Amino acid sequence: MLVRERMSTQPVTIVADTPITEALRVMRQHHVRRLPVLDAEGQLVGIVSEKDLLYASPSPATSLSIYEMHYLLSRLKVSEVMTTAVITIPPDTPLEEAARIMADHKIGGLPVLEEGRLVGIITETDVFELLLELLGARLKGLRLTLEIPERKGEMARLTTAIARLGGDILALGTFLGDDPTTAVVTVKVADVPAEALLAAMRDLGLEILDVREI
Amino acid sequence: MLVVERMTPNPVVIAADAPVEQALAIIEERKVRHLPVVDEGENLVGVVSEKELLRAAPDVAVRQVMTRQVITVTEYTALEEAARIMADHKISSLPVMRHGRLVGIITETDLFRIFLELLGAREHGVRLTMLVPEEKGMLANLTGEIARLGGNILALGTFLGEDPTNRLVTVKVADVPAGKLVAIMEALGMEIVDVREG
Repeated sequence: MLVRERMSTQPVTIVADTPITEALRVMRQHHVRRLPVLDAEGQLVGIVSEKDLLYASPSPATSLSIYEMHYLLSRLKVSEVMTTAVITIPPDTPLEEAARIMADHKIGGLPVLEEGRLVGIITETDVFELLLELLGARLKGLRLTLEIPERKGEMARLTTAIARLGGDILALGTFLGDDPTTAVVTVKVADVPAEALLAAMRDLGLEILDVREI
Repeated sequence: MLVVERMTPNPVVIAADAPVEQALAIIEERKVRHLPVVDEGENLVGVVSEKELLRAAPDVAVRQVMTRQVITVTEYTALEEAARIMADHKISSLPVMRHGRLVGIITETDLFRIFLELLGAREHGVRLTMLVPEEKGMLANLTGEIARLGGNILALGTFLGEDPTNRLVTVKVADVPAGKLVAIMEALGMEIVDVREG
């Protein structure tokens, strides 16, 4: 899965000398939380988040009148509050790499550049939808969580046993275990009775941590 | 994987009568984006986000700006179920309750880290993405062949494919050369979409 397959193409952008009141309006209109910022030539020069704009707005408790406040806000430009050191990625970046960059830098979105041109944006929300898919959150089946030894061939033994019972694996995810010798696997299976599946897992010597029908 | 394994236990809370200013100070100091709101009896009465606080006057009580209709989960909710609730309701955190008491909080950020783990983003190996025919036993064939080559599967994730007849599988494998892995997968009838070392 690459960024190209899940990014929003033609993202809503804003020009650097736009007043922040206008930027907030654009965000609300398009239901987005951040906007790539372009200069007059269409080059990416920054990114601005709703939070940057909210922190820049005067607190409602100031002694300014509503007219003075509106005047001040209309003079404050996006270029004054945006982040200029923008981290960008190319469209063929693996999605988990994009997710790692967002997590490590504590940012919620990455502009996607191809040959210096803005071609999309990928956000935490996009990654989140993918996580649901990975774990089959919207599919129904028997959900098992197992502890498996961190050894070559364990995954093959597990999936082969399910296939032999005629089971269909809807989703499968591997997590780090309690220590380096184990991994935790969550698997969602259709078309196998729970008892038969559990018995097969016990025969493999796997520890069953949780079972539920979802 | 259940919520209890990845939640933050004993989260920082704010009193419903505290001023917005105090809540914002806690949010900044503890580097969190949401605070569960409690009454005098430590009962959960709401949740307040950084954004709701930023839009309010500093001397107003938190209870005036908090969200009252709080969706909660328990420690034994499946993680993907918690993720589904957040996505469907467009919220980014869920208080975790045990017998009506607040025992933790689980956020989008916690789930984000799980995604990294699931696809082995912090481990090194050959990363292969392929279209796999949607037939029973295909995953078993795939993992069986990797084992036969002496490969160690670091991560494996299944995604929806291009249509209902196939699905997309991303797998990260150590201890097998990329070329050998690709040849075997093609022989099994998989369509290779992407190969890289990472």
